[in-house]
Amino acid sequence: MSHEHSTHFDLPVGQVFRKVRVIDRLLTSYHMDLWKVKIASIVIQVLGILSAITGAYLVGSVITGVSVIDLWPTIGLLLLFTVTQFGLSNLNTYWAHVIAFRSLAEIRKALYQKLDELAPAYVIKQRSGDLARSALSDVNLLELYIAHTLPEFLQAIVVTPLALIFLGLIHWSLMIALAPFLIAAITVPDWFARRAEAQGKAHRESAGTMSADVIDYIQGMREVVAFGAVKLSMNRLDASQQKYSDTYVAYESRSGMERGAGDALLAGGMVVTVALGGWLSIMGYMDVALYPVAAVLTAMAFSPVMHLLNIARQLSQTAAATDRVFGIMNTQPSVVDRVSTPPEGPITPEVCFDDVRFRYGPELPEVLKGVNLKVSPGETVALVGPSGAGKSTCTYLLLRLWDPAEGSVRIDGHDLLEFPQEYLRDMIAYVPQDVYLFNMSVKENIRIGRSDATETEIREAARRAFALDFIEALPDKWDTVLGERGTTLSGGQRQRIAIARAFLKNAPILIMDEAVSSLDTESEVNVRKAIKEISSGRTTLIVAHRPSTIRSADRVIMLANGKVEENGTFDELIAANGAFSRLMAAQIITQMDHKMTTQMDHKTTTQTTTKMTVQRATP
Amino acid sequence: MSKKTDVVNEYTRVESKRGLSITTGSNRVKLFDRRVLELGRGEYGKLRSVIILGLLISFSYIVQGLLIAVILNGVFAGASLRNSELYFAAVALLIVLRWAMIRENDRIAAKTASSIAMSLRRRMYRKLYELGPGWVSTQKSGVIQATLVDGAEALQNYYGRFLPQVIVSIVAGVSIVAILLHVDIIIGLVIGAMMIAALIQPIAIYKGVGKGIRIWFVAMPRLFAEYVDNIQGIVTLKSFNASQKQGEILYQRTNDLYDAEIGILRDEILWSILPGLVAAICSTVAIIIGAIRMDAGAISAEGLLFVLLLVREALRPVTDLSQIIHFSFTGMGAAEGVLDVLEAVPLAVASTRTPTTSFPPSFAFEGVTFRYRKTDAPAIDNLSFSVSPGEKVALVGRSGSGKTTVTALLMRFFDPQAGFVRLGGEDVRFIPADELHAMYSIVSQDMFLFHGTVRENLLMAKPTASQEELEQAARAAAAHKFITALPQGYDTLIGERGVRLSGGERQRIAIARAFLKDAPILILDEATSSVDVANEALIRKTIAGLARDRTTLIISHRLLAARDADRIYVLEKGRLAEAGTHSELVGYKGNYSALVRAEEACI
Repeated sequence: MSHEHSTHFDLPVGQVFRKVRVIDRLLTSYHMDLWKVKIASIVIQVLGILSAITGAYLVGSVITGVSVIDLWPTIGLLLLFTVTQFGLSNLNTYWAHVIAFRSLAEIRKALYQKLDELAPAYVIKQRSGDLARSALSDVNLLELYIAHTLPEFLQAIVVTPLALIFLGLIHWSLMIALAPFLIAAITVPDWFARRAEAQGKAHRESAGTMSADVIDYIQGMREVVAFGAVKLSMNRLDASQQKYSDTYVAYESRSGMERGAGDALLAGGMVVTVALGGWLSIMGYMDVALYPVAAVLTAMAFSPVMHLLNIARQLSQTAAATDRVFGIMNTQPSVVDRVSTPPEGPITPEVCFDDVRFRYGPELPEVLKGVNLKVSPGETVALVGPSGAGKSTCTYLLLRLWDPAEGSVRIDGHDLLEFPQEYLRDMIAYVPQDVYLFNMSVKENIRIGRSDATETEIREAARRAFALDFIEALPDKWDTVLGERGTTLSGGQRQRIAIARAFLKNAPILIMDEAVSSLDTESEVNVRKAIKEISSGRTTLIVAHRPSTIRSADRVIMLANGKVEENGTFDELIAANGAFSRLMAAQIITQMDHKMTTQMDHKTTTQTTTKMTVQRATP
Repeated sequence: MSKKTDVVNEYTRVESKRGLSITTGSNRVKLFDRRVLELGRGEYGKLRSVIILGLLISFSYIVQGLLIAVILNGVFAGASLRNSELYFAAVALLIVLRWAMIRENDRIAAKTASSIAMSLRRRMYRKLYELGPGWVSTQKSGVIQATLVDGAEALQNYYGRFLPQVIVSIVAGVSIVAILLHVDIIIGLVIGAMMIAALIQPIAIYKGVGKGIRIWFVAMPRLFAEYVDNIQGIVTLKSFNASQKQGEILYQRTNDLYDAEIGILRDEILWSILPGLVAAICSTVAIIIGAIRMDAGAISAEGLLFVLLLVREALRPVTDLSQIIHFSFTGMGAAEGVLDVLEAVPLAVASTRTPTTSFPPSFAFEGVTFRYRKTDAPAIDNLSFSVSPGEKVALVGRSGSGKTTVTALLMRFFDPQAGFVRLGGEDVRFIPADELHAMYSIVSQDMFLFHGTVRENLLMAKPTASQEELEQAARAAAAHKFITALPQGYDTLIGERGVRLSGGERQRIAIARAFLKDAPILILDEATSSVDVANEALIRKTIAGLARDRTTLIISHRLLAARDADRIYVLEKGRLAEAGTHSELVGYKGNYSALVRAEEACI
């Protein structure tokens, strides 16, 4: 059900040992249970050997003339071994899977907690689909390891030597003669290891391309149909499919050759035992009744090796998956709590940036190059500037999604590092630019703002965010499911949901990142009213794009190239005739132009108005 | 148990509300389902060589076992090994031949399997094209991708490996039983019973766990969706200190999945215990019976050695089959999704009429009513309007008033429940899809750019276009300059969904594409709303160039774009509220003039 059968490398057996130890580290809390499984796996295999030996001995004895009556104890033992082996292996399958699924569930939970800790710095670098896939598919592969690979691996390393020792007990020369065949079989994956690796890589890459082409086709379906471009898409699919198939066939041919080699070595070993054992029996060097036993033991010595070769194949995939899971688990979060309790005494909501410098990564350019700004308690400050000036970055630093490289961000004079993260975020309400709606009801989406809010409180928050009208017009009103698989809301409606969340949270500091793209006119009016309502009485830092929003702020701070360029009221900055007034000019002129013409139209047409007849079809 | 049922019920309820059926287990597929077997029709010829090679390999094991039994018997009889030289040589030859056959078998099996997957994908591609974007938009994103990529892959193993192995296992098994029957009837019957039990085992397991697997296929995507949802919204969760609270739902989903997995496991073990026991104990029983029969003089020493060596071989077809059975389990899960796609009924039924010459570039709605789902309020409610050749008409209204649905109906992504959509006077239901789509160019706020070069993205509008034509279109769309500034110019690869370009740049490539297509009717669906202020003026200018001499429908929630139209229709809740020119509507003091005033207030 969860097994993936895509192609992967055959690991040389030497590496298998190392990989097994790495994976074991993920499962430390299950060591006791795992030991139970490990021991049972070995006992099962030993029972298998014993029943094979007993069966072969029975046959050998009967042929050499021993009466069945004397062999009843042997028959009894044979039955006992067989039944016990069957019962124990069922039990062990159950044990192994319970451990497997239980640890899978826990690793998934731990991964979520880790991702939360790492967010957003780590998360934005990855595609969310990839991360979720890691949490599911990669973790799923561990099931294969715990429930299947591990028991088989143990059997391989225990049973083969055991079978060889038994053979040696029958006659030492049998053991010596068989050893080269076994060693050759174990090293089969090493023969073409490099080619296997290259083939595996090529196959995975072609799988990626094909998958991307399919996704492109489906997501771009509207365009494909509109342009009638199905042939083009089909050709692309065929090309990437063909490549995918070619790499797969190449891989499987090589792997088939290795499988055939293993099989031939096993059969060769069998021939050697049969020939040597036959000669030894005829010459009287060994009991002829043990002759079939030797043949069966040869098969027993090889079968775990064959398993090991299969495991080497599964394990490389598991190991790669484990590497990815480990990769996430071992990533150090960039933001960590430095203290466990907040500073004593009441905190005044005054925000201050003190010579803050910041870059998103060591190899990336500096985004903030010494920003100094201050927002007094209750004041609303609009942060403006061209795109890439570092406006949104300032909001992230205030939320401590990242920490500045130099300088400090302060609230009431305390460096943010002096607050536990949870305490800090309790003081701040955040309305992001791209509002994310979860795949839950409207009610639950607003409740994100405060988990213990009552329905009345949620309703009140929505009302103050001017969201009540549209929510109650939704198909299932408050229970309408939103998000990817639910009803989609317009940009303005999303913003108002976010503002409702902020009302519910009722924090003293408000950070708002205004949407860049245009809202429909009615939404825009309502969003503006909602912003006005929520910012009153709160310390507000708003990343603003619209002249109307900027004008209604108490003060405007203009950022450019990672520095504060201008600082003052709207009118002051316009009068100063600097960068800010130039920035405003472009936008205002377009819109003023529009406004003036509409007003003119308005005047000239009022006299000539005729009531329009609305076209309606008769049913 | 009840919890699991809840999971399924709840999921089925939520999904069926949205008209979805993939992975909800609506198709109950059996291990040898008639529909699945029919799906593979046309592919079975490819399986012949896989089956023949598989049989040859199986027989080589049987012959090898017989030869070794003969050699062993010679040793017991005290004869010299010299007498067995020929047998040794035969075994050695078999070993080498088998090596070659195994390699060839793996190669051919891989080739056959992937050619089946390729053909399935091709069929689904074509089917999706028939189903169109309307149908695709009703499906959960990710599911169709998974069906096309992973579903085809899982089914390739079902057809390419599982089905041939079934035949090989049956033929090889029957042959071994026949040989053993020849040695001794009782032993042959016992082994035969064992093999039947072992062959029934996977079918019994599938029957027993089928339901559990369907639950698993529900629980898994739910957990996946929850993960994606939480990761995408993680900044929001973090800023509200809500990650842990929200995580509880995820933990619940994780536990649901665990329950499903343990349920499957328990069922699998319960259902397999009886046939498993029969299979495990029978080889032992056969050997014991053989010993007793020989002691009684009923069989020869050679016969007993045959039994000893062939009992192992008798297990091989069965173990091969049970190893491969996992393929078929995943294959069955996938088959449901693949069948859903291939058997889906297009929302708009294909036209049977033969193509005609050309249509005048006019279109009209006549009393059109359309609901996305039966229970919904109508998205378009008894709407009538018409646009004559060369006219520029605007459709305005607030978000959710049905403007974009108009485009989907014009393009026939859906068919309306009542009324007619016409192109050039003809009912669109009687116009072949390709012909219909060739009449329209659409520029919308979210234009899709394919992963590929700029050139490839442009060429999809006109595959035969020359470089000159490309550049001309790009210049007209004010895109030539920034394209040539890209690292490889027109051959620059643009990433997944064209992410490496800004919104304005993407929009200009989309406009260039429309220039190249040169269709007589242009639909501008919020063409400038996702573009930032700095780019808007430029894009508006290029669009004006594109609209020149074309019948144009402007769809917008903003009035700026609509002002110069020959006629403006105001939509409200899917209905026509007002119609007229800008100046007429401003004077009318209805909805439109209210919108105008609101827009002014924003400045």
